[in-house]
Amino acid sequence: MENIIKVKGLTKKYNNFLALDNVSLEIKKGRIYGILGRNGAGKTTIMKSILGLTFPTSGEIYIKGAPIDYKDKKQFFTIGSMIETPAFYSNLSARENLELFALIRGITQKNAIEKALDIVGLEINSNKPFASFSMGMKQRLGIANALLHEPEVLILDEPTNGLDPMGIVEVRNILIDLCRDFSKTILISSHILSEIEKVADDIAFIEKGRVVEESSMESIRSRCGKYTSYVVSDVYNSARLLEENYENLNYIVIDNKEIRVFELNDKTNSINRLLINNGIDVFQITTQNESLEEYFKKLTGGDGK
Amino acid sequence: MKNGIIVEWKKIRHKNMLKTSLVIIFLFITIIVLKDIFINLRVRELGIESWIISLDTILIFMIIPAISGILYTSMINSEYAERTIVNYISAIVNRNTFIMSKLIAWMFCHLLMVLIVCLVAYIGSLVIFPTTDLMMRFYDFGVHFLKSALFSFFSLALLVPISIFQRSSYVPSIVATLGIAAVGVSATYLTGILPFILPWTAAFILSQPISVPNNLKILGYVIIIVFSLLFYILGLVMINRQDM
Repeated sequence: MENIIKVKGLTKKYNNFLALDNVSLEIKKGRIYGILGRNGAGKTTIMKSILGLTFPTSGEIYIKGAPIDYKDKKQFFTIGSMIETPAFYSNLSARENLELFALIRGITQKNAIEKALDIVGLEINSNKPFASFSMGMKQRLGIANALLHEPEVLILDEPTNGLDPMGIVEVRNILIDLCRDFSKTILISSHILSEIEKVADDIAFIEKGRVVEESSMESIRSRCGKYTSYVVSDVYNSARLLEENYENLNYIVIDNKEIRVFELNDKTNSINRLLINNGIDVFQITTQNESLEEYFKKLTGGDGK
Repeated sequence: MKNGIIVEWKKIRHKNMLKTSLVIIFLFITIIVLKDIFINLRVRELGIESWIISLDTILIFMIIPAISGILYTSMINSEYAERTIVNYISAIVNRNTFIMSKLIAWMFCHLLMVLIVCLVAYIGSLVIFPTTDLMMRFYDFGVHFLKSALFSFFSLALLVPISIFQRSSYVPSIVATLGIAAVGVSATYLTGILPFILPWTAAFILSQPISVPNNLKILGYVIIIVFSLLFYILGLVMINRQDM
């Protein structure tokens, strides 16, 4: 599948602070690519570097195969963006704001504004100033602005930030529709794992300016290991028994009461028998899939929040 | 660029700041002219040139630069403060276009402020210093105030790099605005070559209807042009290197 944006060895230093460290990403055409990371991990810096809002210290960025040239503004017509928060002129209405942005981008299509507002479901003739918009309306207007010049790629920085649950669902549906019905490639960032998990086709985990993993969601889901959880009366003796009886068994101890065994071949019965025969009470046995959050925790060695 | 200027003008029109500025300037010049018509009768003895110098000093080089500087600061720094600059210049819009459009829109606002002074002063001059040649008086006023407007505008060029450097903070450029106004007018207390080697004092002196030796006049013009260009170029270099 064709890469519409390719980032290779991107590094950004702010004085002595290394914001991005040799980041490489490949964003494929027609897919939703999620950048996942904690606040301050470098998600926005990657997006800003692609958009020419910040200048990389080193590395290369390609748009549709051509190296990026920040001076060649025509190259950027491929991209629509919303970075940080949806920022607009507070005293102007949605339409007036979009009229200014359409004018500055030289958009000549008469219905471009109506079309963009219609896609995101904002009222076209409202005179309500931007300052009085709800966060959901602001995010929608931000997406409409990004769509104005009908770009192939949308770069949206935390588009569900600050939204209520219904708002999150609405924005998520807009993104899925844009990708499915309008063939847009979407690069989104978020620090909320469940959000990215629900929309992204491909995902990159960013931690302290580095990509710790880049993969398709499909592949990650298959790798989010299945595990069997044993809630037992004595975790230390249980762990000792597992060590003694099973070679190279992949397990972890959780909260001094639970043992999670990651094993492709089902050993549930034999482990259960082993524990009971050695006088350990087994209160609960459940088989679960490791969530993306847990997978992220393992990758980053943190709490995944 | 044309679209950029239209956008800037629309933004200014939607804010009340320009309207408020024009009203303040109108009130100032009207009060001064009425005072000179009805109260300060001695002004007739001093002559029209002294009267124009006094208007220049108070309005074109003190009040208008202060108001105009604050207007420009607001034009640039509200973009940083509200983060609209990220929306505006991300991707498609050239950073030079962003600054140049603002500069041109600002110059237009500045000229508009001076135009109000010029019109009220012209009407007042017909009462204080009657003339039969209305067209000639109008032409003289037009040329003089256009020259003063341009000089006072160029003397504010320092604000361009400052407003970009300070990003969302308004304080440095407001301090600089007031400083420029104060330094410009202080030219009246300086003698010799000194007022001609500072762009702000040179702008004030060269806009006045007074005779200045040719060598100093040329030096003053060169200083104003060089410094203005320097500050504009510095502003463009800064915006092009700035991480948003």
